[in-house]
Amino acid sequence: MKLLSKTYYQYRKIWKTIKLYFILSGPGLIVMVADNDAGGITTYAATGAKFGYHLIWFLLLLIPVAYYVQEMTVRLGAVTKRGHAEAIFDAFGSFWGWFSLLDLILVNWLTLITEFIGMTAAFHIFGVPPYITVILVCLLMGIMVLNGRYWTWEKIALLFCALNLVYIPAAFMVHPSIPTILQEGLIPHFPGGFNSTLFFFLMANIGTTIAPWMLFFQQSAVVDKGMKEKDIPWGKFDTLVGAILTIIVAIFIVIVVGTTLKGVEIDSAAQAFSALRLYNEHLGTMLAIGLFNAGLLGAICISLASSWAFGEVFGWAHSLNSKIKEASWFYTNYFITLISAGLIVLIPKAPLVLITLFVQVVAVTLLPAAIVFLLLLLNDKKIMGEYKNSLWQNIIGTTIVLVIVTLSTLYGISIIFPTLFN
Amino acid sequence: MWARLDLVLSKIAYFFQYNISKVREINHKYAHPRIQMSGGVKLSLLFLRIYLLFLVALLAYKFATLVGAR
Repeated sequence: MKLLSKTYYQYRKIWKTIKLYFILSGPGLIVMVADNDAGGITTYAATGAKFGYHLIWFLLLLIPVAYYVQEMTVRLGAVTKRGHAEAIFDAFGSFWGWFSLLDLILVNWLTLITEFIGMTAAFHIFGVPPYITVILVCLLMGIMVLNGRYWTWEKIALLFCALNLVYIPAAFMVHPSIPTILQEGLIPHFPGGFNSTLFFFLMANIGTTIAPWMLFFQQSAVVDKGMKEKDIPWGKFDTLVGAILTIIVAIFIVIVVGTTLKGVEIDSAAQAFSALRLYNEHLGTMLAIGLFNAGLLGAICISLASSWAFGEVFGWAHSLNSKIKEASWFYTNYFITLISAGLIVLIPKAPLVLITLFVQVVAVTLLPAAIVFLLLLLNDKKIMGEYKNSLWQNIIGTTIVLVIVTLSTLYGISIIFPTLFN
Repeated sequence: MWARLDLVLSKIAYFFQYNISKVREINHKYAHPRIQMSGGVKLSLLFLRIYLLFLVALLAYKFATLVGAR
């Protein structure tokens, strides 16, 4: 009887913990999974097509990188109760504040265009005209935010996160050789030697994993969710789960494309999945829907990151818990960003490839600043109190920051001067 | 019709006036950085300024070479 009651007690305790996690989870999971946006899927598909399974080990290394950077935003948001944009204004003054805010708005808007490019290309595979896709996306995203509750928005976003897992069963459908994956993918090496092409791909994968909007989004989401200092361990756990999940999905995309299209030149994920439809129609269809979902999830988070940042700095009501009348500027900003980005994709002969490349260049100007500010803020005792970075967190954080700043800069330069590293 | 146009123009004017005053208010509010300006912080901010100038110079060079090529 005692054993039974003890087992029941343990069961209740575990169930309570799981329930608590589901209540507190969200920002970390959403931001990480949304990181596998349309651009991200293209990068992973191109990596798989070019190098097969050979760079899976490198993707695994990106789990701690993504986690350590993003967990800092959880602590900063929970302690200061301020979004990243407002925190930069407050700590570093208006010059750096305006620089970060305007750069963020520009890079987010451009990234949003690339999400629309991905979504329209994905639905184009099924013969859906781009304008229908744009209208559909704007309506869907409008419904999501206009329900007037952060909680509902978050749970719908989590549903889209779950759809992102479609790449996992897809990998099993192409019957990859598991011993080959383990042999080629898990031992660190540089396929074909360290050359400019490989370097470009490594940088592109890093650039996809850590994007400026992620810092701003997660911190604002932590604040909007109302997380407190006592919730930090849950927020960190949520971020860790998200980091693992996002890289797992990335690896499975590499496996799908690496198994079926190795050696094929890939310009976009839509092109890859269109080709996969010839290989297996159901598979191609599944992946094209996955690409649309990835673009949608990215668009959901990016447009919100901009509106939150503007709201924080201008002092407007900027919560998803507010109704339209209470936060009219916040929602106006959200819809203007969304609709204008959608309209750009519909302009005939718009320089979409140039826009896609320009995103990376503008992101390079913002990412080092945002990430350095994050590290400096996390070291200020007056702001962070007992939650400031420890020595080990600083060693890890500084190393990551230096590597990211160096590689993302080189990536940006390689886009501006494509022949420089040849 | 003129009355309507007048109303729209006055609303646009109000929008700009309001936001310009808001920007001024923000600049005033955040005029002084709150972070403790230790040596490390000053050095990091100096690095960021140099880094951004370097990027702007690179972009300007690229622009100049593109225009020159035409």
